[in-house]
Amino acid sequence: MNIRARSRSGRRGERGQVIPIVAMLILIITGFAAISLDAGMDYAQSRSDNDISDAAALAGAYWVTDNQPGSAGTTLVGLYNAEYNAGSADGCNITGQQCSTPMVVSGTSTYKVAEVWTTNAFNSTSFPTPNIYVGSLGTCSTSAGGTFAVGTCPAASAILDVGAPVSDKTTDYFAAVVGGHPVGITPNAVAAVAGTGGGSTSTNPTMACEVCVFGNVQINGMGDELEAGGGSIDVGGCVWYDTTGATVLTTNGYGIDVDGTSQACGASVYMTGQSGSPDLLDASGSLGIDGGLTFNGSYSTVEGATTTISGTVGATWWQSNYNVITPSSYGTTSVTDFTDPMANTAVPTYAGATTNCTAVGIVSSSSTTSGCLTATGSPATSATLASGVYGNVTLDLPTTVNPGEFESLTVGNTNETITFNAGTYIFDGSGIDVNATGTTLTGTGLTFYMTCGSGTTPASCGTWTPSSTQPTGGTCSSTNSSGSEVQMNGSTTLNLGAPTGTNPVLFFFDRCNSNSNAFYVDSQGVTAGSGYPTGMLYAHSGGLQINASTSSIPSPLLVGSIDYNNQSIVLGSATGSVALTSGTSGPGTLVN
Amino acid sequence: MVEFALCFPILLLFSVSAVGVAHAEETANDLATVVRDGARYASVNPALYGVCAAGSTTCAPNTIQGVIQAEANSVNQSAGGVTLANTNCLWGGLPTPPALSASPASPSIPTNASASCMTIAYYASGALNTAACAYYQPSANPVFTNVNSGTCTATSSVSTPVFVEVIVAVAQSATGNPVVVLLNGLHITPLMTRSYSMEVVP
Repeated sequence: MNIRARSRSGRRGERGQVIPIVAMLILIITGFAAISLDAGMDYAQSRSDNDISDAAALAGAYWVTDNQPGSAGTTLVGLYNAEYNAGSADGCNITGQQCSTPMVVSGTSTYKVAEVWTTNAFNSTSFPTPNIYVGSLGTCSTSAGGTFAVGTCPAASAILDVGAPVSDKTTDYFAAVVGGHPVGITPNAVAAVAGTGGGSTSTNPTMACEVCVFGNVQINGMGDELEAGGGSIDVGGCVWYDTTGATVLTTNGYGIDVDGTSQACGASVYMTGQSGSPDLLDASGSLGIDGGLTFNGSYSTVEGATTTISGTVGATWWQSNYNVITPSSYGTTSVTDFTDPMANTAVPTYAGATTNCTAVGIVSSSSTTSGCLTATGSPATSATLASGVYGNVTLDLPTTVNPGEFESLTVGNTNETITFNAGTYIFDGSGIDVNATGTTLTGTGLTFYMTCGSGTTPASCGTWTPSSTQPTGGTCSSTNSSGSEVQMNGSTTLNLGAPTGTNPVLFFFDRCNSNSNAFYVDSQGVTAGSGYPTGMLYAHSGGLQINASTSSIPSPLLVGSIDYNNQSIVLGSATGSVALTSGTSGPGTLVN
Repeated sequence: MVEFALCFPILLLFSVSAVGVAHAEETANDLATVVRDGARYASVNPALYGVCAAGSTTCAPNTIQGVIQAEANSVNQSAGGVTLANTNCLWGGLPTPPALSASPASPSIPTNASASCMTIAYYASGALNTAACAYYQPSANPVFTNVNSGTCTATSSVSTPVFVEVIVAVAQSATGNPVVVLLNGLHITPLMTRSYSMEVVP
């Protein structure tokens, strides 16, 4: 055998060896692919289960917010169902699936539980054990496997955190072939009942507009600002920058709409900025102007994420005067009309005592207990006014006031605290006048209805008929420019809170009360304690006169007009109104 | 050489399939993120369905549909994002949303839309199989359409706690996806549908 023959024979002997190698490789590769697919699907499932737990926990938090205060010892089945339904809607609790939320407790207990914390447990970095578990019947226990009873349930107002543990298992396809077992997936999201931005019983309403003005905004002071970060700014009149260096802006993606076509302003937005002190109209979201824009100065900026301006943009040479519109390719279509979101809301009513208390005039250290007035001390150091119908009352003492009807209530001495007990206060005369420095107005569950009348007889300032009229949402048969007003003529602290409920109002001015000084803040301004004031200021036809910087005006702010009468006034807050500053956009916030 | 020639197509198919499946899974995860965040936004801002032309892919960022579009466009930027049109999905040929479901049946995408659609539906209860009570219709003046009158509203004062379900559907683009090309060649159009539900904050 020669060398060539041996070589051919050797090659024939090696033929086919690659086939088992490839077969093994395919098996190995297939195995890796199977492991990868299983792992990938398991990861996707765990992501989904985390989402389910998040949604369920938030649903529980929303329920708690919407059902406060509640009572201790009553069922929390609503909380349980809220979490259960949220889990079901996203893929848990469906018959035949192994995912369940709230979790099925392992062991002997057959209860499914939601978790509740009534302490500030999540201030710590560790994951604390819940102190209440809620079963499927809304009953509660202090341990997951304990004895569940209605009586151990806390009041909704006592619940600070809710958790929605989810129990699931991986669905392993290829691993099961080789004897693998499913792995448990147990996410456990916790939501804090801590936000303040919504909820049907929240004290802080969420509305599309944080600042709604049904007439004009007149900015008269250099450096004045109007800000909103918790909703849009909608102006149904004109915005006049009658000064330089003034700003109107929104943040957090909210827009600004100005529609002054019904006001015959000449231009809906009128800017007079100058070099070094330009005016700014800046919408974080969309900006819409109906009725034209006039630059009567230079270097001013009008900008929005998107911008539409219908009507004339002027005046002559505005571009060569370095005024800017952003984006430069702005649209020219009309902006969406808006109407008063409160146009159909019923006016406050008072069904309290009808006792005639008109004998009470000045409450001072010389006052003695008589009729509707209870004086404490001799000479008196404090006083209490019973529910009743009053005339003009002056408070020269720290006083506790009960709901009633008043022509006027004047604070006459410095550094007094006036406490209002919960209820509706109707004013039909000149209204509230804080005429002393250092005054604190305090109380919760309050509505101040500022209307018109004669003597002690409150009456509507005109007949209101809601309609689809833009932007007012209705019309008055007549208006009364002398309706009750709120005068803040001192450095006043507004620790006032509206009742809980849908869109609560703290100051409700009769819609036909066209007092241009309806809410007046002097140069000493108003401040508020943490979390105050709550509820909105609603003065459909009335004016807000502002002389000092403040974010402590009740919010949302729905007024007929705004006038700035001083320099460097900042009204509102770029991070939301004062009520929303420390809160979130919803009552539930995921904390874990 | 012959063995390599036999094995190579198989290995190539494995590799290409892995890329295709991974891409499809990535898109699915992207859409899951989109509908989750969209539903959360729609739950706390139920009245912020804004003015935006039907079919637009660039709605304002402070609107529900704009948030969903922006999220979709950003989740997979390396691949150019997922483009979503402001177009209602069709359910049995109609825009009326299906009953609340964890895995709604695949809708159809209107033929005049780009390869995507979205449904933003509201329900008077969070219980499964609850019929939709209202949904948004995109148009120059957005319409909140009640399909069961009086049961829910998208204003800021919702009287009945409701659920919102955001559903998006995307027809997988054939571009750059060999598996999709293959499926398209077989006249099988892959349609990715994801949904997520949240209780609405009144």
